[in-house]
Amino acid sequence: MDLPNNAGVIYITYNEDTCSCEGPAFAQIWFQPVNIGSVQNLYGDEYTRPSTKNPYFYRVGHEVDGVGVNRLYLLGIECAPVKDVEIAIRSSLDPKKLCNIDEEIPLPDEMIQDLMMQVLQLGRFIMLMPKENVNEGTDNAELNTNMYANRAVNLPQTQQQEQ
Amino acid sequence: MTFNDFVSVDHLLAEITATINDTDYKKGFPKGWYISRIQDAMQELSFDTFWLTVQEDVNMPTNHQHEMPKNVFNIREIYGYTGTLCNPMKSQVIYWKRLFNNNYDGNGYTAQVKDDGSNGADIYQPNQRTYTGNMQGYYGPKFYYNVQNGLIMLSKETGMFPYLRIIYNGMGVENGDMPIIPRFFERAVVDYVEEKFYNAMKARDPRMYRPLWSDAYSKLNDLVNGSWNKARKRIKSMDSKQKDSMNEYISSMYHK
Repeated sequence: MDLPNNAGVIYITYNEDTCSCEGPAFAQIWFQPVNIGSVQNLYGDEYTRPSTKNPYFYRVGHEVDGVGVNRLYLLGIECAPVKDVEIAIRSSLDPKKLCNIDEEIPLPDEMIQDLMMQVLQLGRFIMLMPKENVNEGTDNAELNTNMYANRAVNLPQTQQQEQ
Repeated sequence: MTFNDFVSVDHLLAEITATINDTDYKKGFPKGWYISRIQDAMQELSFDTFWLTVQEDVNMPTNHQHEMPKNVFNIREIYGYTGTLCNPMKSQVIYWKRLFNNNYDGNGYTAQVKDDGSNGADIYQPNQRTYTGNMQGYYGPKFYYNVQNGLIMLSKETGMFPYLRIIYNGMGVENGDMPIIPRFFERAVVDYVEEKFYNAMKARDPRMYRPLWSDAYSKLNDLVNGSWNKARKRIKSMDSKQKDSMNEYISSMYHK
């Protein structure tokens, strides 16, 4: 999930003793988020240099050279036999899967009010859409404002302006 | 310095990251950056207050040269001693000699004034065999050293002692190791790191971070209430027993 500062990934951890993801996350070694452009800078300071006790991750998403990739790269454990890591990520609802209106949307209760507000906002936006902004493919067509109780109705007539 | 109480790096990081709102190390810098700044703070406090002393006991170098260890500056004391490395018996203070140079080890050396008066032909220097006949036979102190580029050069007479003890001021731990923070420096170190954080973030978003940096700067550097000056004052006001003993000694000097 694309969020600023790698916020889509909540954390990545591993257990340094067993080189796997055993144990509670807070007691393990945390991979720190880093931007791929900042990686080189990390090696300049002894305290920030990637290591097994101080590992990092960065994400490469979208497309690189026309190839679709979405990967997390782990830095600092190159020489450690890490078997698996624990990753916590944020996920979003895919709107493409919400086609059936009878289907229950897995939305938390506290978000329902927000959803209602968003739908109403969308309705208000549509109502505000001037007719002349709607592309009907016919340039010379006279404005038909009957259908819309919108701003175009209230626009002054061109002839009136000339007078 | 009389203390034996330290706070951990994590203890400081918990406060610092909460203050600057970066507890998950995602908005500013990685964790190592903050630890590096903590070490910077300890280093600066070391230079400002000389709070840390480091002792080094070594075998007397046979080539009359000893390389200063890392992370130290400012030699405080040097002794040559007999006995064993861990149990000095007889000891001798080794003095600093002006312009003494034994850069290529061995017994030979140069100096503006040599201890045997053999640096002849300079009429302005005392202790010259050629011009001060009555000083014949005068020998200056024989145990001395000088430092050049971190190399401690010792006079050949110091070689009669099997061991060398040097006490330096330290700069904190070696870069890369976990910093050691005395508890009375906690406020100063926290404020130092916060100031450095906002100072670095200023370049990213000047409008947001400049006022925050300005607050942090005055919290650290205020002459009266700034934590840095408080830390320096604390160091100076310490060692009550030493002051007490010194007072007793001076007040009773005629009775000794």
